[in-house]
Amino acid sequence: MKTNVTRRDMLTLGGGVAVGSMLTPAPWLLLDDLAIWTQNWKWIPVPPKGVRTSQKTVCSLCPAGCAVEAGCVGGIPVALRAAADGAPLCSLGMTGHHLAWHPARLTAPVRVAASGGEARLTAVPREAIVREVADAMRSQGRGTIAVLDFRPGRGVSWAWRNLLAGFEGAAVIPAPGSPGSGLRAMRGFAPDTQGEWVPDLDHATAILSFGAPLADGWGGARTRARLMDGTGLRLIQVEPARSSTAALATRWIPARPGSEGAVALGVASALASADPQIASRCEEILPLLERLTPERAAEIAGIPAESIFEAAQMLLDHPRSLAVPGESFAGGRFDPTTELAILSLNVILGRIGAEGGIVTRAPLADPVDGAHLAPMRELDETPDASIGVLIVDASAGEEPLPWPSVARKLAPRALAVALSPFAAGSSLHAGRVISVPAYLEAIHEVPRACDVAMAALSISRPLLAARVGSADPASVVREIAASAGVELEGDWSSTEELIALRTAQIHRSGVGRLEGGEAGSPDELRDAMLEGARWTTEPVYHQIRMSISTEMAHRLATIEGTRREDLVVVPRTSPDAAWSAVLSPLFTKLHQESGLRREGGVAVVNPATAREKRLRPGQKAVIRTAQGRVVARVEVDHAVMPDVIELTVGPTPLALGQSRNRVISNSLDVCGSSGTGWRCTPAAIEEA
Amino acid sequence: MVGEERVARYGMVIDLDRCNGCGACMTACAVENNIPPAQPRVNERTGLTSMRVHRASNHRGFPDHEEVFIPISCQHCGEHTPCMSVCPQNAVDVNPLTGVVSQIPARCLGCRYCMAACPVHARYFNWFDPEWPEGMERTLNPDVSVRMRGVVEKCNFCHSRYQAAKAKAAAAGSREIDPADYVPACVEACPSGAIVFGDLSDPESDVALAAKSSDAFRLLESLGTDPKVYYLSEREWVRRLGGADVTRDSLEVHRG
Amino acid sequence: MIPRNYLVFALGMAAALAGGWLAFPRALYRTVEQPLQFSHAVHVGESVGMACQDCHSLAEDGRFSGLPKIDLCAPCHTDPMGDSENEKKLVESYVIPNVEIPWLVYARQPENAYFAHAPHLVLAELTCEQCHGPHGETDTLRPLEQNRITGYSRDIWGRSLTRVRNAEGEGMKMSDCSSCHRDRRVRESCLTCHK
Repeated sequence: MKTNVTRRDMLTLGGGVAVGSMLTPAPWLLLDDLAIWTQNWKWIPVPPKGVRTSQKTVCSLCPAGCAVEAGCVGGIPVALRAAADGAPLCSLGMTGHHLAWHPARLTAPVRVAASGGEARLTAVPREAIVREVADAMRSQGRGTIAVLDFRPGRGVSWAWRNLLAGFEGAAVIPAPGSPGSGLRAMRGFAPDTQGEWVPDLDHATAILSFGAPLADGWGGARTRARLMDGTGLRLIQVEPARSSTAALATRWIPARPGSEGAVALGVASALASADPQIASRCEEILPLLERLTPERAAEIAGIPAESIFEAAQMLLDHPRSLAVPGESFAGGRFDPTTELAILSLNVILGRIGAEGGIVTRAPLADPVDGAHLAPMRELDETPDASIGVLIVDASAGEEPLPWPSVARKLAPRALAVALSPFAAGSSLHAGRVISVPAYLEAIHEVPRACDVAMAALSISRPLLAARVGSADPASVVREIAASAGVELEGDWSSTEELIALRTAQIHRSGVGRLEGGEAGSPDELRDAMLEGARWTTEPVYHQIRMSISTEMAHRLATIEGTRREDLVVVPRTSPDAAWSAVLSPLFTKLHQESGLRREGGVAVVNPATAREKRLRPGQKAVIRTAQGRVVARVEVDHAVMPDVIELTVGPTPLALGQSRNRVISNSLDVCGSSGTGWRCTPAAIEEA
Repeated sequence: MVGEERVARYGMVIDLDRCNGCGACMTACAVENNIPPAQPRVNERTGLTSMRVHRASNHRGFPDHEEVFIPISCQHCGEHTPCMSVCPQNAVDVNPLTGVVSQIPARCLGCRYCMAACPVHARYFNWFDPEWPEGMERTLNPDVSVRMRGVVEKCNFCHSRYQAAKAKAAAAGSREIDPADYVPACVEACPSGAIVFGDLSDPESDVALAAKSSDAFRLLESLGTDPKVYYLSEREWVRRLGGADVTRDSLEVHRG
Repeated sequence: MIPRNYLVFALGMAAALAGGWLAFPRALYRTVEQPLQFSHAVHVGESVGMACQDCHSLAEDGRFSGLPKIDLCAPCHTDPMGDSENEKKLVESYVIPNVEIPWLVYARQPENAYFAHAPHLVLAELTCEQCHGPHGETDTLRPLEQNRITGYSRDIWGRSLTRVRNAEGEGMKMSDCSSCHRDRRVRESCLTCHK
């Protein structure tokens, strides 16, 4: 037999191997394994495994303070939902557990340098920043010291006021545009009020609302529930767009932006003609009201005069009614004169201090009684170029704010330092940022915003460990005080201790009650609140007679000359996106991956306006205002009032974690003029 | 032997007069089902939203312009289920005990024939591998698997919650779940209570009663697919949208 | 005289058969030892007298505890009770530093498979041995034979490579679950077992 191996042999051998292997399990098992292997790639994330627990806390992302039940795996929250019987969480609350891992999260203090419209960050030790702030505070001639507090009312807010107490001209500036901030203008009528002015929405049976988003979080979810139940709450909503509140209202009055003051005075005029008692309360402005008739006001606002008479009639028919100015989520407050006009309606109707009207509520007890505190001062009342040291406290969240409104108040070589968990939003404007814990990483207080008559306080319990490199805001206040040689009141060194001091004070005062828990001692009170119980009070009523002064009358007279602007730009954002500098990346579902919400930087106009200004949908256009210019993409929609540009403000790709470029400016920056807010700004638009 | 289990037909009724387009249902769906956030170049056509709120309007000018928001997820068609009949892989089936139309991504080969067949565009393709920012994978829901790219997915009425409800009932020795234990994420999240969920074959359930209302309509009912999602509205122009073309993000009534 | 071709062919076949039946299983599976040895027999036996449910229990919400966590071992084993090396390692490396023991799970399934113990234990009244074999009586933990390609245990495919059953409780692939469901007339659907 031949013994050399031929090619034929190899092929035959191969054939044998092939047939033989078919008769073994090998190929079948390998096929099966291959299928499994291709379905379990290593780079596909695997959900966590671990012990499942359920933890209670309170959402501190916005002042509503919804009770939260967190489903956790291995101690890390994987699902946030409303605690039993509570209001369902909004999209922001539902995804809040993502924020700690947001790509824009800061894990170390940084210095921010602006270059080409973008921010470049370099890590610096916190001690260096603290020393810089303390030195700047001590040095004279630089300017006054101010703290911009986005969540006033916390224990940390008190600590800032205590820190600034010894410095002349220093003040804490509350967030300029948050819900209920318009009521702060009541101070004009009663400068010595001890507490906060708030609308008693829960007990009102009729509301004349100027843009207040009552169905989107004002008054907690209760006002919304009342509107949807049809249980007799009458609402007249004065707003340029058909918002969800306007859609639920008894009547929607589409008044032109900027004409709200005229509408308010038109209603006052109708009231004064109808009721002599009311006329006697507005003697100072009677001549003005005789000229600014409902018909004249309707003409300025572009609405039928019947609407104004209907609003006046509603206020007359319902003894428990009120007129309330509403802050829009991106636009903030009305200008001071408009706020004055709207609040005057309550004054002439005699609704101040009455049930269902505008009442005061006592401020929350301070952690330490009788401490020396710096005053609160509105941003508008701060003189331009006066602030030498600005500390922006965004540690518990922030609202949209056109930075130029703040920058205007800074002196030439001012030092701005921000406390923020993220390198986004206001922190990119500051020169230094101290990194603080993100939502769910630290204990927070949630005091009620000024849109509800009952004072309330909840405590948000942390569910995650804070990152190394995040500083507790209260301890930062301590560090600055130590470095600046300032002595602070009380024995505390952390937010937790401040909260303990405050709950002890609340317990000592005996005021209010605990919702959802029992408490005999201060410790029990604090523990119950940590488990989600809310401390709350009842509204206090005692009617106060107020009147309109001559000086107010002079200011109100300027409304008569309200000019009809050719074109105005009105900023817009969604309620749930307005409370944080960054959003969970899942918000792309609402903005990018569907047509539900527009992304930031879109200018939406009515088709008639588009034709007039020769704008085509999808094209880029330049919007010019006194503040500057911005390029936006044009879209056309019948939902927008003619001669109005709705400019969407966010979220930016950075806020969604989709971009590494830390672009500093925001389309909102183009809004605003000196002293009148940024709610509606005269503008010009042309195709780019 | 196994006892006979009650046959249920799970369905939804969505009140369009209550929906204000807040999108909480969309967010809740994404959180519950481990849907990854979008890559930068994704748009409406390539987005992945198992629940998507569409918009439609009455086409009038300002100020008479009115919008309606319509949350659309898989309608769980019961009759001649279009996606099931075209799938070459048998990756879609109708559960005989619940009526839920399933989509098993592990079996799907990504031909997207079902996406073409679905009359309401309720099926979505994973164009990209799922990617979360570093560390955020620790917040994923362990009851739902994460899909790789190249497969189709859609709403399955939060079946993981149904499975949990069944396990809980089984631990107590029962074959019937407690309806309060089975609430899909979108239903739980809606702040207006616009979405009602339950067993359509139970004549006393909220959902069965609402579905019989004269204000109720279904999308593209004329196709005869017997969808299990009903919509309610007192407005005539909204009810007429039942015959409209469903596009990627809106409903357009076919003119002519 | 057998033609050369046939011989060569037969040689090839023989080689393939030998490789496929003998060498292939050894090559495909890698043997991994458990991090710690544990004797079920001792814990279930007379001296300790535990029952299966003491460590592998069904909670009220229907979830199965799976493998016990370290805080189940800790109360008894705060100090070594005997003089075995394993127990010493348990106490020093796991109980005292409160670290979970990284047990290798024979029955681990891919992410998209869903299995709930509750209906099987309570409604179907299955015993542990019917699916897991006589694991609860063993004195040692056998090593995990891990498939080098997929990473799953050999127990899933089953010891027998042709999947012709030798023992009860072998094999946990979809067809194994399906055939039992079919025998018991469970109305099946994809979503019953997939997530």
